[in-house]
Amino acid sequence: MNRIAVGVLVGGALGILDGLTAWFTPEARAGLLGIVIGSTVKGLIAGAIIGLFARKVNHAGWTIAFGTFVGALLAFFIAQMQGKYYLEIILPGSLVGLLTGYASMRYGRAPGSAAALR
Amino acid sequence: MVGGFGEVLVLDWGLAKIAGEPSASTVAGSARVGTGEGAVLGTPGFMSPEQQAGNSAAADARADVYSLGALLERLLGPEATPALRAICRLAMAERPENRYPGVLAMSSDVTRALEGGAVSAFPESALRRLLRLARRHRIAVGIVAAYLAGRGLIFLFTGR
Repeated sequence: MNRIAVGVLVGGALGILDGLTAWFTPEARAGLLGIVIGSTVKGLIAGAIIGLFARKVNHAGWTIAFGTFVGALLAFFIAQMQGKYYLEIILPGSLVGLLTGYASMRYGRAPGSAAALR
Repeated sequence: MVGGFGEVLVLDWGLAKIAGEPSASTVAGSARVGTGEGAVLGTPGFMSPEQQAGNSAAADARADVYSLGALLERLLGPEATPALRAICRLAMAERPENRYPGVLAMSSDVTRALEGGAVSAFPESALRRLLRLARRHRIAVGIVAAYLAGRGLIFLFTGR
């Protein structure tokens, strides 16, 4: 599986999980479905961007740092739309981006590898 | 044996029994030699109980299953999984009707065991099945565990 695909898969999966953790914030439970959908879409977009970066740059450290930044940035936009829960959204969002970056580099196939050519 | 091009060559068909023949017979070299009832031919430890008893008429494909089970048991090291050991036990059951019906069934179980799947010879508890699935999908489990651990740390330090 190439790095973009891994990024999208992991980003989307962690996005769902990240959205579901909003259940532990009582005030957010009423809008849980919207939060999960939004978090999933955020994860998919972040995963695609991070996967593309991983494919182009091909450096684990930079990809993890970039993933953390992208995760935090997208999470910031979401928090900005709501005007609240900045910390609860940005920190986990950064974590999702960090793990997506790591997974893209660790488990995604590098471009031009023998396996990729099959 | 391994041939000059790396191909596997199966030798020594001297003890092969031809299935479906009206009378039991074995092929020894280029001539057929009738296997008399009571004759014991084979390697001790790898012969099925019915072959050891000289009951060659009762020996069928399940005798081969027994022999393969004995071979697999010999090849397994100390780190062999419980599933592979269970496959050996089933293949080497005393009575032919308690063994795998044929080599293909045994082969399927061995393949599944090596791939981390469920095997028919080894009934699992719910917990053991969960652990096996976790081992098989350890990458996904690891990522989720890392996320949850990080989330826990965030909650611990921020209270949110």
